[in-house]
Amino acid sequence: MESLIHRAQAGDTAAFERLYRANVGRVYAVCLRLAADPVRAEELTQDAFVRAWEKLGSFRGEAAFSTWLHRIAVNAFLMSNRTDSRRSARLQVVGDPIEVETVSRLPQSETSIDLERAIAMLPEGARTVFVLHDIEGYQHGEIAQLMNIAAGTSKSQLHRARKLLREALDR
Amino acid sequence: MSHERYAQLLNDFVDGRLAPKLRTELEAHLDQCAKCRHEVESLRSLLAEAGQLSRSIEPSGDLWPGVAGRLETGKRRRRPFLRPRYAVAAVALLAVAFSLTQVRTKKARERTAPPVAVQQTGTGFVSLTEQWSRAEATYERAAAELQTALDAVRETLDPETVARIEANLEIIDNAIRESREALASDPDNLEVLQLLAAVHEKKLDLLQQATRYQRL
Repeated sequence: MESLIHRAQAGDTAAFERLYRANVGRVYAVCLRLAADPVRAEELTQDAFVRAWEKLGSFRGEAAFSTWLHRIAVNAFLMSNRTDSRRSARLQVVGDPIEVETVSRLPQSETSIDLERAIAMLPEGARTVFVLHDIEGYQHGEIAQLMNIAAGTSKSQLHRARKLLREALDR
Repeated sequence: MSHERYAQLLNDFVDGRLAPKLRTELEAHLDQCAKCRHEVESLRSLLAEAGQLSRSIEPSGDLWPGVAGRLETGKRRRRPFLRPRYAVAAVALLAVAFSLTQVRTKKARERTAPPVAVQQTGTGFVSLTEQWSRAEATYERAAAELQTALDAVRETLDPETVARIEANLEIIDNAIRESREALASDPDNLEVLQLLAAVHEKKLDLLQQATRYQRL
């Protein structure tokens, strides 16, 4: 892996493609759960890898490459959210049919499908915090920094998400 | 401490964030309170299930060509798989939207102008309507092509997926119809025009996504 990173840092796109192949599933998964929209998740995944390529020179190996890449993907989602907020507000007028479709792109295991569907239906802020904290293992301090909110807000969004999920799952 | 106060601490309890003294106090409450015990069990079950979700999901198509293209050119492209004809329609829509803004600005300036100025604005509006019709026709042709591609693979798809796609298409088509009606009653309303364009884009996104299911 290290040699691939060094080669990619030197401009070797074939080495970067191998890094892409090894990590695309993980990046797409977080993008899909955050965006609840397969088309947007594909855009975000592509954006994340392009940004990673552009920032490779600054990767020093303090964290694992996959962790570094994951953080870039989350940032790509949050940045795109800020940029697209006005457009999204307009689209809310017609509902969000793609959201329903999202579930079909997620793994169809018997135990997870209801939870995946319920996560996709959460309000965006609550969904973002739930995905980052309870699925991806981020701490409230990190989430607060990434989302530019107070840690207390992250906590209350998480509690709200859990409450809504338990209601949706009838627990 | 009241039951309500203990109930507020349950999330922190399952996350292991309570100070030892408070944790001991809450555990004593849980021994007495079936409702709070149920809440804790429910939260733990949810977290356990969330922890078992797959961390890796493969996208439906290969995204690498789109990434590689941007590495080579350094250009930032917003939508993967965007066909050139869609881009043509998008540019046409932008042109119409820009022209409508000009007309609206001009109208505002000419509110006190003599009738002949209003007549000139009206002449310009007809031309804009034609531009919009051409742009929308391009969207409709693209959607029809994708619909044909989808029809060709329909029988190979899971019936539940087909039903979901059709339900989504119905919602989008209703939105297009309602936006058109709104535009007909207020032809130079830029917001409605943008909304209509966005709904057309949403339909193309959905159809593109649906036609990619054949590769799953």
